[in-house]
Amino acid sequence: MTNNIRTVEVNRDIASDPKRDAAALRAEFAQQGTLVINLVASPGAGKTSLLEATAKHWAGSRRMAVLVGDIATNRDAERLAPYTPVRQLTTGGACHLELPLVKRGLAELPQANYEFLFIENIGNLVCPASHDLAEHVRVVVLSTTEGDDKPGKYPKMFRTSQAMVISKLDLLPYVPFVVESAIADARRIQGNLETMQISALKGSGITDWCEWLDAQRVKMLRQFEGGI
Amino acid sequence: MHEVSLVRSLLSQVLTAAKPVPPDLIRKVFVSVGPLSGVEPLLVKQAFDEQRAAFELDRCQLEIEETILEGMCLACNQTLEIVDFAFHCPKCDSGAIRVTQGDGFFLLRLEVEEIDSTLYSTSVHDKLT
Repeated sequence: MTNNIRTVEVNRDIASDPKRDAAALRAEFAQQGTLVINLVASPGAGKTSLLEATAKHWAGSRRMAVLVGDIATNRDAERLAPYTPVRQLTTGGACHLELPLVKRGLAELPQANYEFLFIENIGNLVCPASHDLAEHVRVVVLSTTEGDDKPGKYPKMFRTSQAMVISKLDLLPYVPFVVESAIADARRIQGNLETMQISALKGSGITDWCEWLDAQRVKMLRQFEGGI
Repeated sequence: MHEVSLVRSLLSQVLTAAKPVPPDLIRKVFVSVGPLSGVEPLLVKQAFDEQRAAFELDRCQLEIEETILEGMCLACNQTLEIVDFAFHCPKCDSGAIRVTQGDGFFLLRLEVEEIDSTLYSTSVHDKLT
């Protein structure tokens, strides 16, 4: 006997469950007044240095916390601990953070009414682009030492980010990096991308970055109150 | 790479969507992968072959449909194919493009072997939502 073959139509986004969980958590954060920033970049681009400079700049004037992701070690958490509440998330090999790990780290942070929660993702311009961590803004850090041709090579990451921070600007005289080329390449993928230029080492651009964060939080609060 | 975790999620959703059809009667899974889906078809296929036995789907085959990247210009409503990730309207020059297809990894449909059609009358949509 030959059985018939029947087709079952599904048409479902495979990531729809994690996306729904992320959207619910994002709304909770907005209600609490916490702006969540997912900081993505390749390894060594200066994510931790940017957070260190941010915490030092605010010097306690904003309530901030950091969840920092790495494959292994507590090095980044130890580095940031003198300046901000922080918890290390180690993935044991996974190339990106996912929401359950973020939730676990969140539960381990001292409970406070944070205004800013930074999630420093695993250094990787590929996989983190596909995972919503309940952030309100995704910021990609691109360092001058990586080359100005990177946005076009990692389109999803730049397409899904709202801002690009060009870091290590103090090294510009020594590397073949053209700021305008990097911005043009990124805006070809994401026309609305905001761009900032910083040197965490010299402290330049940090005020602009912090003001941008404040403005993003105000925007988030306004959208939440408006029920958008 | 993250294909393994996504494929495990796919396999678990296949079992849910097929219910009450048992795993050994699920013959084929159709998925679509777009240029901006963040997954590589070859690695999806490899992960599927490696992981299916753990879901009792040893006999199940995978069909991957690769879609193009499509969008709509928010300035002039023109629909367009986005080639080489250039999000740019050829008609009005705007960069404000909303992606309408090709940025996801979708479970499209299943083919199941049918023994008694009266057993499987439940709507798939009801179970998933």
